[in-house]
Amino acid sequence: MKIYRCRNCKNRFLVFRFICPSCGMTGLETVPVIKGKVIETVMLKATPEPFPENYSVVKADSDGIIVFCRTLERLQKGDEIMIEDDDLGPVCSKI
Amino acid sequence: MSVIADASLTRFGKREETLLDLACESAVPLVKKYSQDIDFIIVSNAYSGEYNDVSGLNNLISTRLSLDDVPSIRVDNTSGSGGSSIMVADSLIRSSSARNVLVIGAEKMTGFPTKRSTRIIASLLQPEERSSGMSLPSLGAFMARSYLSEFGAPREAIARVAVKNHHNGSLNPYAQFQSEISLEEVMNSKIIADPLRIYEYCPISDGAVSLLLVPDENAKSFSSSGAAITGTGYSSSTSSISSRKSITTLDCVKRSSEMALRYGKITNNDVDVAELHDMTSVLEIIESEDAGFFRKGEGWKAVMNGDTDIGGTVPINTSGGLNSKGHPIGASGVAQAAEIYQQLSGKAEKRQVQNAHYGFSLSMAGFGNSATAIVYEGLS
Repeated sequence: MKIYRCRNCKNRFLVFRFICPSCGMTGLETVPVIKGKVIETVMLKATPEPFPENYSVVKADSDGIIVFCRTLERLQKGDEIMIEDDDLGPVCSKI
Repeated sequence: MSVIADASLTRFGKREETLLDLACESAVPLVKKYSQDIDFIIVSNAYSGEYNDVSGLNNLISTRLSLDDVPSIRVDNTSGSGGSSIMVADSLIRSSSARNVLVIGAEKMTGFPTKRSTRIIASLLQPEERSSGMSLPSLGAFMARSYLSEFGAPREAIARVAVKNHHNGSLNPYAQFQSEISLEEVMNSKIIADPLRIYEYCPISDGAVSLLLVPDENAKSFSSSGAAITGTGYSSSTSSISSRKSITTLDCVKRSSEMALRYGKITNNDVDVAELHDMTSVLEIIESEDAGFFRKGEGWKAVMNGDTDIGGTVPINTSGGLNSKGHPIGASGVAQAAEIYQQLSGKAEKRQVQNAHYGFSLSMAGFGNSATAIVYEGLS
């Protein structure tokens, strides 16, 4: 998984911006995210294409940035997770 | 100032007709009466390309209504298209750029599997967030979990919104669901996104609504009753869910509501009837707080006390709301205005709020990406 960081003010964002909302400069660089801590999970029984049935969306904190990923595990608030990418997007598992 | 002088609706639900036919079904009664007066058409629709393989919907509709030379545009602002369309129509009339505007809200969404629909609607999310498997129902569930734990609300408060709105829908001949449901039925229904269950989400719907908006100085020549649009407010918030400070507060709802009430020169206490965007039941509670009807964290108490029932202090979603009336996306905000028009004109029949004079509607795009709030005053 990757997030974005402003080359000028170093603020970080999950969603790409052409212009940094903090300092107004252009030029964001990508930063890898591999770990986080679970804030909340939601188990989905009705999922969108092209995703499989029955997974949970995980809201996690990664060094102060909110990120989202999916998992088949039953995770609890505060669990430390490892985040990787599969063909569809970021997936996570308990460390 | 503009006035809603007339309204026409189709029944919402699973319909066999095409999108074009549904739109025209709602518009024909108004065009038959006012064809010589209509000088602008606004079509509110979000997904004609994705669901119906149709583009340039406004031009296709105007020709079928034999209003070929009347200028028309399509307004797409996802689930907030309806409110945005009315705001544009009102602006055209206030600026004298148009006199009598026909607003048509239409959407046809059934016919695809739910999984495809969920994908189409999730396309309004930022790609970096959507790739997590997030959907609109999952955001409702995150919101519900946070609201319940932040404010100590009981789980059944959210379910009671669905019970209330299904009761109201049972009184509305245009609603998709016209039968009541019990609290037990809601609480035992299928989970969609834990903790929220199927009766706490709006259905996938087809339907159309048409309104005639006219300048206030001419309103009496069209109808002895109507709903004047005395205030509108529009506000946007970040579409990046990860960038929001709170998931239990909708900033665009707060700002747009304050603006509409200020322009309309009334307070929340004056509002006799309100239509809110209950894509999921927890949204109605949170919007009722952010729009200023209840203090933050106390909207659930109002639901439990019956304050938002027909006959309560602030009846909310007397139409049945998106939850029971249905949510054909482009039509929903227009249908909210039609409900307020009927209430303020004394035409709401079994769901009539007694002595309703001021109305309020809140049409929201995405999951709090933007909101249009509208304040109305009855003419009669």
